[in-house]
This record gives sequence, C-alpha cells and structure tokens, in this order.
Amino acid sequence: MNNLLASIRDKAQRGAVFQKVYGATLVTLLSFMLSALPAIGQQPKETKHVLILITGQNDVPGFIYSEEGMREILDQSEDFQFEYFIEYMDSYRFNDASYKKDLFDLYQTKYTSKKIDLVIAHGYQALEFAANQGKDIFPHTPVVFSAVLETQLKRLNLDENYTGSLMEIDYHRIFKTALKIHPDTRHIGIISGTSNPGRFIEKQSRDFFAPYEDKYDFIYLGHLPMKDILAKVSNFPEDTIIIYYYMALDGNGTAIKPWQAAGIISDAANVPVYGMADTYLGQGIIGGALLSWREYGKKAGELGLRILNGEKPADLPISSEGTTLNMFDWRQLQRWGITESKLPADSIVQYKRISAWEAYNWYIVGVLFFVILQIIIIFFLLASRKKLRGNESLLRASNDRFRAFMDNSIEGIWCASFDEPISLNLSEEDQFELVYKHGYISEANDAYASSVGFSLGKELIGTRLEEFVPRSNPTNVASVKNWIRNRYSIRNAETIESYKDGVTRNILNNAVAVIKAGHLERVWGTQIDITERKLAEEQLRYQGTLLENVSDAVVSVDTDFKVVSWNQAAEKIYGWKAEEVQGKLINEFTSINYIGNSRDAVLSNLERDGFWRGEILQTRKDGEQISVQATYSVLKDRSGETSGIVGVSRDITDLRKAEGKMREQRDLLSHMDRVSSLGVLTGGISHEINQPLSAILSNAQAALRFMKNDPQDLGEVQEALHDIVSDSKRCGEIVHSIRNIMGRQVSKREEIDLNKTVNDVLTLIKNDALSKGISISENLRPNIPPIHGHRTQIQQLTLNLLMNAMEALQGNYSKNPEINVATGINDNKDIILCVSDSGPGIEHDQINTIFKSFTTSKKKGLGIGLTICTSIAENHEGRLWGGNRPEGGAIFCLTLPTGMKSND
Amino acid sequence: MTDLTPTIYVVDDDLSVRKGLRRLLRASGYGVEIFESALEFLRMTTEIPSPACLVLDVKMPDMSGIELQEKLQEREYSLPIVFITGHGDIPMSVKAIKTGAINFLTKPFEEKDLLKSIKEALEKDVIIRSAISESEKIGKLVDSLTPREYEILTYVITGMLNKQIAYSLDISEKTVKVHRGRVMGKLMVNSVADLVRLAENAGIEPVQETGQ
Repeated sequence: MNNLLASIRDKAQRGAVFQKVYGATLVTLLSFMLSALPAIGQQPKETKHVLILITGQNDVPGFIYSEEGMREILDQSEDFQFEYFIEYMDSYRFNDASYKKDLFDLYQTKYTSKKIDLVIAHGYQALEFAANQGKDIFPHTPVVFSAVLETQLKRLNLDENYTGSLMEIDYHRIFKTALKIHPDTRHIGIISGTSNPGRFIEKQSRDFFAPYEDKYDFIYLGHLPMKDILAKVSNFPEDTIIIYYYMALDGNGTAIKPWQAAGIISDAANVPVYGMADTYLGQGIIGGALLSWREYGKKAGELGLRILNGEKPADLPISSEGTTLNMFDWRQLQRWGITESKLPADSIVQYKRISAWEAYNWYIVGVLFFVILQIIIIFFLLASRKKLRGNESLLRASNDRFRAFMDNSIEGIWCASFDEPISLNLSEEDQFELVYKHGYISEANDAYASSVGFSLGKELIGTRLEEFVPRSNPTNVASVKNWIRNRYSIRNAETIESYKDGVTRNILNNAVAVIKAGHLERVWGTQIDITERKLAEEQLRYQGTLLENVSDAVVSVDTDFKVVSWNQAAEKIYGWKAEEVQGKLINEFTSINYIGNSRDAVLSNLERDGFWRGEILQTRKDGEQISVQATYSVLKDRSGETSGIVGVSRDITDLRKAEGKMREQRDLLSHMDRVSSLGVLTGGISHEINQPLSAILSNAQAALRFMKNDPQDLGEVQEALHDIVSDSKRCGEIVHSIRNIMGRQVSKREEIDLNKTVNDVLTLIKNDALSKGISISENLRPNIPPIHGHRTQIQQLTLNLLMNAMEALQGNYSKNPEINVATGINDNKDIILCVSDSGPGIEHDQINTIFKSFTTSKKKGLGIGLTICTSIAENHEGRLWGGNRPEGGAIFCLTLPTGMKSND
Repeated sequence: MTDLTPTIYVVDDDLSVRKGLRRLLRASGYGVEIFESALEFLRMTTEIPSPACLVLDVKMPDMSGIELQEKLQEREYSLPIVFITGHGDIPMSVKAIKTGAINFLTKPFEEKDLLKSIKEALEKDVIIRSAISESEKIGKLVDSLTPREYEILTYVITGMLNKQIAYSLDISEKTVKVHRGRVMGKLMVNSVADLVRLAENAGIEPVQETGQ
C-alpha cells in the first residue's frame, strides 16, 4: 500500500514537473528573476497568516494538488508574504463528535493567539467546521471555501465573510469532449462504483445522458465487481469509449482508491478511458474534461488574494467557473493513435516525451531534405543508365520464367484484360457494362483450361468475357457483380462449377486486380480444383459424425499414450469432456486395471496381434470405478509406422453388478437351504459328535481312576490318553466338515475327489438314515479323475440329493427302504454322480416343475433344493437330470465334464 | 454271591465308545465284555454269571437296542439294561423305561450317573437271581410229591377241609389226613398258610371247583 501511494505521488509529482519544465520553463525562470529583482530595493512584504483547512487526509492526490494550487497563487503575491498553517482534518475517516471536539481544542490552542488573516477551507467538512466551531477560534476572519457542492452549501448558514468555489461535475463537457475525439462512438461504458458519491454521480450521469439514449448505447458498470468490470472493458467493441467517474467501492464492496482504479481499468481496457478528475491523469486514462483540483486550489488562492487586497467576500461570486480543464495524457494519445490535432483547442497535454525531432525539427528537416534530394538524383541517374542497358534482356528472362511458371503450375492461372481501363469510380452498373464490353481472357494456362473443360490454355486466350461467362446465365451476372463490388479481388472463394464437360467441381478462387490511378487494367486469377479435398472432408465429417454417435466410447491415443480423440460416448461413460483430456496422458487422469492381465501383457499382445480384447476396470471422473469391455487396436500411419492405439469400450458395470447381485442371492439361498438341511440333520450330526465325546469322557474318567488306584496303572492311563487324542481329532474333523457344508463362506475352486465328497456327506446323514430304517449302499467307482470346482457346492448338491431321497422314503412305500449312491464315468468321459431310491418316484404332474424353486412335496425345507442343485451344476458346466427308474423309485444324476472349469 | 466280580456287558457299534466304556468300567472294578452289535450279543452261548447287567446303545445297524431288549424279554430271564444313546428323544426313553430298563443315559454321560445306574442294575440282578434260585428249590421239593400227594396239595391250598376233600375225591377222610401230613413233611412246612405261599411261589394253581 505504501509503495502504491508512493508511486502515485511520484506520478503526480512528475506530472507537475513535466508541466513546469515543458509547459512554462522560460516563463517561470523569467518570472523568478523579475520577482527577485524588485525585492532587493523595496520594503519587505507584509506577512499574512493563512489557515488552510483540508477536509481529508494528506495522502490523497486531490487534496495535495489543491493545496499546492493555493500556495502557488498566494506565493505570487507582490504585496504579501505568507505564513501557512495547514491542517489536514482527516474527517472522512474520523467524524464523530469527540474527534471534532478534540480538533476544536487543538485548533483553539494553536490559533486563538495567532491572528489569522484568512481561512481557506477545502471541501464540505472543512467549511462546516469553519462555519460552526471556527467562529470561536477566528471570529470575523474571511473564509474562502473550495470544491463544495451547491446542495451542501445550502445546508450552512453563511454570513458575508464567506465566498468560494462550487464543485460541479460538467457532464456535458465530459461527454462532448470525448465525442469530439471519437465521433464514431456508439457505445459508452460508464463506471462510478457503489459508494455514496459513486451512486450520486451515476444518478446525475443517467439523468444527463437520458436524452441521448436512442443514439448511444450506455453501459453502466457501476454495480459490477472489479473482476467483471475488467473482463467487460477488455472486450468492448471498437466503437466504444469508457467514462470513468469515480470508484471507491466496487460491486463486491471492496474498497479501492479512485485514482488507482482508474489506472487498473485503463490498463485492462481495449478502448480509451475518459476520466473525471485530474488526479486520474497519468494513471492510464486518456484524459478528457477533468475537474482540476489544482485549479480549485488556484481559484481559492485568487479569491483569498482579492479579499486580502480589500475586496469584500460577499462581493465575490460563488461559482465553479474555470475548475474543469481539457487535459490529456500524451502517452495514452499515442496508445490510441489520436493526434493532438483532434483535441479541443484549449487542451493541456501532459507527460509528453519530447524527442530530438521536436526539439530540432527544422534543422533536421532541412539537412535531410538536401541529403535525400542528392541521393534521389544519384539513384535516378544510375537507374536510368542501367535501364537503358539491361531492360531488354531482363524483360526477356522475366517473361521466360513467367511462361515456365504458368505452364508448370498445377493451379489454374488466368488473366482478364480490358480494351480500356475501367474507372472504379463509376457506378456498379456502369462498371458491369464496361467489363462485358471490354473484357477478354488474355492469359490462361493449361491447368486452367482443363479445369474449365478445355485442353490447352491457348484455346482460351482471346475469348471475350461475354462468351466465357455469358450474361444470359444469372449465376454469372451475380458473380461478376459480386466481383465488381469487391473491387475485382477475390480471396479463397469456394464455388461449385460445371463447365463444358458437364462434371460438377468444387473450385477455390483467388483474384487480384491491377489498378492504376483508380482504373482497372487487368485481373490475375488462380483457381484450384478442390473437389477431391471436399469429398475427403465430407468423408471425414461423415466418419466423425459416426464416431460421435456410436454408443461405445471410442478413444485414441498416440504412441506416448496422450489422448488424441475422445468421442461423445467417451464423455458420457467416463465423465471427462473431450477438451479436458485431449493431449493428456491417459494414465494420468484415469486408472486402468486390466482384469487378469498386466499392462505389459496387454501391450505385448497389442504388439504381437495388433489388437487386444478384454475386460478392464477404469475410474470415472467422479472417482467411481466402472467395468468396461474394451477392444484395443493398433493404429498405423501411411508409412506403416505405429501411430497410436484406438480403444472401443463399452460400460458393462450395470451388467457386472447385476451378475454380482444374482450370485449373492444364489449364495444366500444356497446358504439358507444348507441351514435348513442342518435343522433336519441335527439328530444325525449330534449323534455323530456325541460318540467321540462320550468316548473321550469315559477315557478321561477312567484315566483319573487308574491314577487314583493303588498302585497306579500308568500303562492304562497312557492308552486312555491316546484314545482321547484320536477321538478329539475325530470330533474336530466332524465339526470341520459341518462348517464346510453349512458355512456362509464362498469356497474357492479346487481339485475335488468326488468319492471323498460323497463319503463326507454320508457321514453326516448316515445316522439319520439309520434311525429312519433306511439303508444306504455305495457304488463308488475307484480312481475317478478329480473335478475342478467348489467343494462346498458339490457337497451341498450331494447332500440335497441324498436328503431328497430320504424324504421320498418316508412312509411305508417300500419294505426295504434303500438309497444307492454311485459315481462313475460315462462314454463322453464325463463324471457322473447318481442318487437313486426305492421310493414312490416322482409324481407324473411334478416331473416338469420339480427343478423350479419353491416346488416341494416335502414338509420341511424351502423347496429350493433342486433349483440350487441345478445352478450348482450349471456353475460347473455340468447338468442335473432326474427321472423315475423302471424298477421303481426316482434317480437324480449330476454330469460334470472332466477338466472343465466352473464359471467363477 | 457278592464275592464274585460283577460283569458288565456293553453293546455299542462305535469302537471308541466301547473301548472307553470298557476302560472306565474296569477302572471302577468291574469285569467287562464288549459286543459290536446286538446280534453278536445274542449269539453268545456262555452262561451269564451273576451279578451282571447290560449297557446297551440304542441306535445300531441291523438290530437296535430296543429290538434287542424285546428279544431278551422272550427269554426266561433278561439282564437289567442301562440304555445309552447319542441322540435320545423322550418317547423313546419312556418306552424303554416302561419295558423295564434301569435308566436311559444320553451320551456323553457323567461317570457317576453311569455307575449309579449300573449299581442299581446289579442290585436288581442279584434280587431277581436269588428269587429265581428260591423257586428252583421249591420246584425240586414239589417234584418229590407223588401224583396223589400233588393232587391233595392242589385241594389243600384252596382252603377245603379234609372232610370236603375226602368227599370230592371219594376217599376216606383218614386217607386225606395221611397224604396231607406227608405233603407238609416233604415240603417242609408247618402250617397251611406256609403251604399256600409256597404253592403260589412254585406256580401251583389251586384246583378249580367244579361246583356241585
């Protein structure tokens, strides 16, 4: 902040210095000398005490300017010399009653004993103080006020001791001055900020501009934050000017120094900024009709002098006259290319950089004139000598080169000449007539001829335009008129033309006119057949549209894996817009996880086969992970070099989720089924566990007795412990196998011995069968190959089939209820597991629905057993089938292909 | 009799249980015989010493413990039975107790419960066996009676007077008196009341009055 203030002051001072040095150096020097001379011989001047009260603080340029102005005038007095008492009241920042009281006390202490001859009050608060409290400190002293609004003045009851200057913003002059310099202005940006004075100014300004609103577009920017103002002003149309009045608060309520804001806005603006006060000059505004604080100071000084010289304050008029000056910043005039001649006659131009040229222009012009004259003469002489000698051969060589160029060019080149030059000042209609009257083809190369359906350029030369582009064709009339309107020049105009051969072509036309002294002499033109290019473009556009419209993401990367293209579907699937990712490394914004593959494996696959297909997990912009079915292909450029990879991806997240959900539900049902089996089997299972437990207990108690006996029989103890160990193990195994079957955990795929699985299950249900009087026979084929699958699932399937069979045997269907479990291998090398029973068989009307869920003839169980069995079979690429045996009873079989893997 | 070591017969299809029980019962001072099935036990021909009892598993293949109990009851004497089961239910145990089982223990059972039940079973065995040997002795005495003396006995235990018996058999009162004295002497009783009790024990039915 201090730096800023320093620089502002510096700028302000420099302004003053420039003005002094370049504006009135001589005058000042002379006046110093003149004023110094009489002092030597005359009486010393009478000393006057002047109290200068300034409303604000002493770091505001306007106040400083004003104070300087006052002293500048007073010090020029021939009659008096002055002792100044300058008080910056700082009453914008401190304005409560106690502060005013303190000021009063201070000033009273300081000035009551001094005889104050004149009070100058700058600004309303200073005047108010002088008028109210001042009477007690400097009674009957004349007061000159400065820069007070007329409305403010009315609030005070001033007596005959007061006079001064009014503060008045001359909207009319501000407006006229700017428009005189920019007569083409259509838009006027207006900035006044949101502080109270700013709003006041804006309102006055609106009132003033109201009558002009139909002629100019007034754009009020006062309510905007600085950021937005800067954005606006940097983007104005060319025919805009900006009037910057004031800004102490922006639209966000951010405080800013008005002169500082003037600089910031001017720097950003793409059009000139006109200001309101001289303190803005030098900050970047171009200038304009500015309130001059210095002039206010001077005016106060002048009024003060007149009062000290005996005039009555009441006789002196109160006005704002002379306080607005046309002032400009020379550097800004340069920036906007405005010459001083455009400025109003009474303009003051500051910050002018004086050049050697300006200082010594006549000398330089004189010397240069002679030097240039001599050089011209010398060159003229030399040139005419050479021209005489070499013109002819040069012309010939040039002509040869021109012919060779014409003949070899693949562009069509033509030249239209005219019997008489055509004046460009004629009306379009007249020119049109003359073009047809005088025009003919004077040059045409073979390329041009062939493009218009001829074979040789020579054939065309001499053809009248009347024949070549006949007026009978309205298209020709339109294009010739257009040609005239463009002063016979054409730039990259695309036309569709069909000539003699009837083929339609896309042509790119260019033409330049040779105009001398306002007359058209000839026109040179070129044309290129861009039909193929057009077709290719069309094709590309078509393909591009296709790419954008497919529902799969199509993404290509270059060899550095930077994104080259990214279609709409990619935007939709991944969430990034094309412009966000183009040119970025694909790995940097999305993570790619090739399921079951490493990145290196995928890349080497691409290298070997040219493509890769698989499933990947990718992250979206929102961080969500999606499953994608992707196909990558290697892209080759024309030379066969790898130029990148294109990937076509489909979002299969929902599909995978649905699959996951289905699997979860199947697992849950399967678990429920197993748990319900558990209930049925509880008797058998607890019997199975209670056996070894019972043995353990007996052995342990026996061991205790053997040890108590006298003598101890440690041999027996040892044997008892041995049996305890093996029975404990047996217990553990049983619990383990129950947990295996009943547990919720999803088992892993592994090699399974089907016979062992059957035996495990038999262990569980053996007792149950026993108590129901059912005999179970086994017919397990030894050494069947292992199957690859889920142990739990195969166990469950076997268990379900066995339990179904046992259920079927409930009741007195059979004298000898029996179940047979068999394993084997069929002719297809499939492994088979069959469970048959001697029950009643499947009811005829159930044979079709038995594999569906919740169809059950059982009292217990969920009726999902067979459905689960079927899904287990399918999960292992196998098949479950069932039916009635000829000899009675039902049979259910599972067929599993050997070596087949389950799906998950 | 009590100086003999009691023998416990254990029938269970589970080897571990059999071995454990044998060890425990031996440690408790019993003689133990083990069988892996009901049929094996039935096939045993050696005479069962006294005292003895049977520890019997309920659930076994081929023939269950309950079936074995039924089979044994067809014999003239069945050992007291303590049932043991891996998973018993109440109806099964009620049925077993009703048909004379000493107790119904669910595996795994406490040592003291088993030994208490076994002790009870052995006591019952002793009582029954002694009862059996008493009736065997009476049988021998009865066998020493002549047919006429046996006939007179069946009349005497009905409470008929000698005169009535003589009338019924159409013999003299004196002859009845003589036979009656011989019966009392052979059967070593001093009163008609003792005679009636003995006849009852020996299963001798009083003669059926045909009515006049």
